[in-house]
Amino acid sequence: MILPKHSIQLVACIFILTLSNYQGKARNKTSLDFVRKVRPSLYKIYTTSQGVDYRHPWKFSPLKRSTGTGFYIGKNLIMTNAHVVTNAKSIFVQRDKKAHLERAYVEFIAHDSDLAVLSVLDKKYFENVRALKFQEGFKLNTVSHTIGFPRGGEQLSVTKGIISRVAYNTYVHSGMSKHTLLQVDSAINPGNSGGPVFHKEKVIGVAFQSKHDGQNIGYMIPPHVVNRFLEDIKDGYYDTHPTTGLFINKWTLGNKAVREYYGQTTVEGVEVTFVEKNSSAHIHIQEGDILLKIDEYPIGVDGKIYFLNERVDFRAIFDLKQIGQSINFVILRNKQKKKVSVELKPYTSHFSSFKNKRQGRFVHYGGIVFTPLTTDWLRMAGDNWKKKINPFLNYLFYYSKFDPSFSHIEEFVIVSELLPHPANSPYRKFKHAVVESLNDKKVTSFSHFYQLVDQKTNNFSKIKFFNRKESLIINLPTLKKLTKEITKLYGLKKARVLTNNLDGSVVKGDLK
Amino acid sequence: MKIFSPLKLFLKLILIFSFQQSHAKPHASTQILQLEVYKQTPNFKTPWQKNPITRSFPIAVKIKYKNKFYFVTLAQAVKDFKSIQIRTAPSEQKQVTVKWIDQEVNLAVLTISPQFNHDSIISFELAPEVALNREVRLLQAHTIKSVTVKKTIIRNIELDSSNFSAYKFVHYVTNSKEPPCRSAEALFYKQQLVGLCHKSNKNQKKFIPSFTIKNMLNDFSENATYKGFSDLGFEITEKRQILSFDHVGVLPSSLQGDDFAISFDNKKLLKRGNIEHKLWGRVNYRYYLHKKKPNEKVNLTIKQNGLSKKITLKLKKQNSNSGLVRYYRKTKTEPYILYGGLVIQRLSLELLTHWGREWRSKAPSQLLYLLNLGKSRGLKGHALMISQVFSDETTRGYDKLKYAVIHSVDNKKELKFKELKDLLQSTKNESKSSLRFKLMHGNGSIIINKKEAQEVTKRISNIYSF
Repeated sequence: MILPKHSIQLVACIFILTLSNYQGKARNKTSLDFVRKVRPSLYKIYTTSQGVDYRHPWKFSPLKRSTGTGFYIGKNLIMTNAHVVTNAKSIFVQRDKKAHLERAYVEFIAHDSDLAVLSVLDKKYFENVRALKFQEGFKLNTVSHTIGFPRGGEQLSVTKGIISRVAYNTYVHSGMSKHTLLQVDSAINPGNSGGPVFHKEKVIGVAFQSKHDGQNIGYMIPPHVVNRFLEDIKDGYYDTHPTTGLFINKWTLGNKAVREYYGQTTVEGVEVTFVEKNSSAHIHIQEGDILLKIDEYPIGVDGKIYFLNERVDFRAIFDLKQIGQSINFVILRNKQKKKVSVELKPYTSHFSSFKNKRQGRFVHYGGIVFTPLTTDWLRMAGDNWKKKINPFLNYLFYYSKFDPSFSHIEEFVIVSELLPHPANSPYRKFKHAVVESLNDKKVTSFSHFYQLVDQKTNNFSKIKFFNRKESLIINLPTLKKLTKEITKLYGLKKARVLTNNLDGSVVKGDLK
Repeated sequence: MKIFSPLKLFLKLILIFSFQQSHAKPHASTQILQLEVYKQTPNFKTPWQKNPITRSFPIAVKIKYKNKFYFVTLAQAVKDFKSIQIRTAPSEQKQVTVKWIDQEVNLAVLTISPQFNHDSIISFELAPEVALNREVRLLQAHTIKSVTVKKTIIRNIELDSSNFSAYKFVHYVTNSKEPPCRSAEALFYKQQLVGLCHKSNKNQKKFIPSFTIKNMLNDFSENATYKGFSDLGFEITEKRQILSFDHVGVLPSSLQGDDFAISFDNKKLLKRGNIEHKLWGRVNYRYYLHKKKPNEKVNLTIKQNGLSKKITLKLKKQNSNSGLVRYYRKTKTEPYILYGGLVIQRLSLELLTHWGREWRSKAPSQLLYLLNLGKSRGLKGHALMISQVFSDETTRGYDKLKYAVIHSVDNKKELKFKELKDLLQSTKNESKSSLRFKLMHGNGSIIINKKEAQEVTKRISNIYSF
């Protein structure tokens, strides 16, 4: 029987559709097969956290319960984000598909790169758990699967997307550190944090933040940033992520007048506008130098290098470096090319790194509470704190590093609170005043301040502030005598906490 | 039982009648001098442009002082005027010009031309100091021909500054939940002017008192030259500490930073820098300071290194503009320099207030720092900033800069606006091909080719219709 021509076409179409549908299912089956394999290495993390109220450092914030995701990376370690376990007083981990909660603790935490590794006391817990491997290298448009325990249900969630951008931007947990990050268009929601993003069976990133004012903009920490962290902790101590303390002007070398001024003949390089004191690059590199190369990478006038198959900020190189290692620059200074090697140091500044400690440092004299002015202190202003803090503190946060008036400062000291008492009532207006000097001696840090005060034995002392016209004239011996009374009156355990190096999260020693 | 007394009633009626006579409601168009002011302020963020013309109807008061008549209003009411008119009859208008304006104290003296018979306009004598809790009348003008008189009470005297001054003056304060005073409302008692309203918030209104107005008019009545208000050159704080006006600035050689003031003008200083006053109990020392004129002398007793010391100081003239930041403008336009695509302005209070009512917290913190503490941190000259950068070949790499503060130009520091303007003019012919603006706050520097700068300035002037 001869079938009409259009009937043959119809049958062919049905066959093709059926075949493609079958192939699609088969492809999907293959692509999601890995989920079955990797699931036993995934953990839901339950935390109960409690932070310090840095403005009243003897107080703590209310308990907060949250969940996140983690994955086993071998050596009895579960990887997650730092923000999942920040200030966690209790951590429980639940392996996927298991009805068992195991108590965990923080082995290492890196607030600057938002990474942490957890462990448990009973190492048998990890027996027969497969360690997930990271994939080296990635390309745009690579298919990715974000797997974790986001809000909206109890079970594991798998979302599919692609790597849509390689960028160099701020990691919001610290709000201060910039690193390479990968943008994905699969949904990353609260609860996904710390979870792996896969390409096939290998991890291509750790989900950690998303953008609320866009659609499907999620970010993950790329493998080389994770590897840098894992390398760093190998010696049993986290040294922090290195930076140079370099500030630059992008694009200016694209300007003919600027090139002529500096004697630069080619359209490349960036102009250094400022080098932070005590930073790695300090002394080695100066304001007005032109950075032409970082290691073997030529720097464009846009401040970018060809790295990870993309053009990214030249500072992305630091994501590969450890403290103590060197980084090489080719610079142009006084119209001469020069090679400069910079040994990388931990980052220190007036508002250095995000430090979550178990207790805030403070000292009070007769109810006048002095604390270090840290980023943690400023963050107590709540969401959008950079806009909420008073303009002088905002100035210190953003510009004190550039201002020679503050070049001697290691750490600012602030009158954080006044515990009301008739003896200190005239000093109320000094709340949130930033200490400049004590009896004309410039105060450089919190420890310097209390040491100066403790040495004082004569009656009157003058404390001068950066942001108050009037000085505080106090009778220190009288205030010191009152300190005990006021400490008791306000139920403080101590009148001072001077040092505290314990991290805010639960550590191994806490579980023993 | 209550006894009806015709005599008592008669006396009461006489009292009411006389009271109403003394506080008679004035007729808007004939008895009150209501100005019709057309203003146009510069746009401080785009200083080559002007804001739309606005119209307001502030009151000017006719003051009789030492047998002369003066028409006085607030400086802020007539500042930046394009035209000021008054309606002398329903169909007759006259032009008003500003004879003198003192923005520090926020007062202006007007002249009206051609001369007209102003007999029908109520004139006020200047009231002497008025006791607290005294009931007074508030004359408010809402629109043209709409004038109301309301009772109010003087609740307090407070220190405050005008919107264009770094100096503080003593003010009367009344409680009032009325709309804010925008029209130089007059506070009077019988036919005596008690004050002119220049500031208000939800709960209170602040008035420039008659004694401050008197200090101003005194200059005109005596020698027709305006001397201005006096400045001690430093502050006496609430704790009576001697403090240089700019925190660490220069004090007279006889004074030290840790001195305590004991007496001012031979009057004992109390807490909060107050001095005893018969009528008010206490008043800030500035009340007595402003009674004196610049170049007059004042006695001060201080405690220095534990010892009492008497000194005599010569008073200076107030000048809020002498510091980094400009408090008020003497010109009708906002001065700016357009150079090679850069717009350069002096930081001013007017620019900062463009960040809205909460400008003290909303304006960029590096600019607020210069206003509040810049001088105390040893910065001199004027706070000059690159307020905008026009995108061009010469400004490539700089076009994102906004409100970047200039540290030096070709290594010349602490420049004043005019000095910078002259410098940019004079460098046109120099052999060096480029000019370097070093910026503060880690912004690096801007390098502009001088030859190109001239061409770009012309080009941008044409494109943006300067």
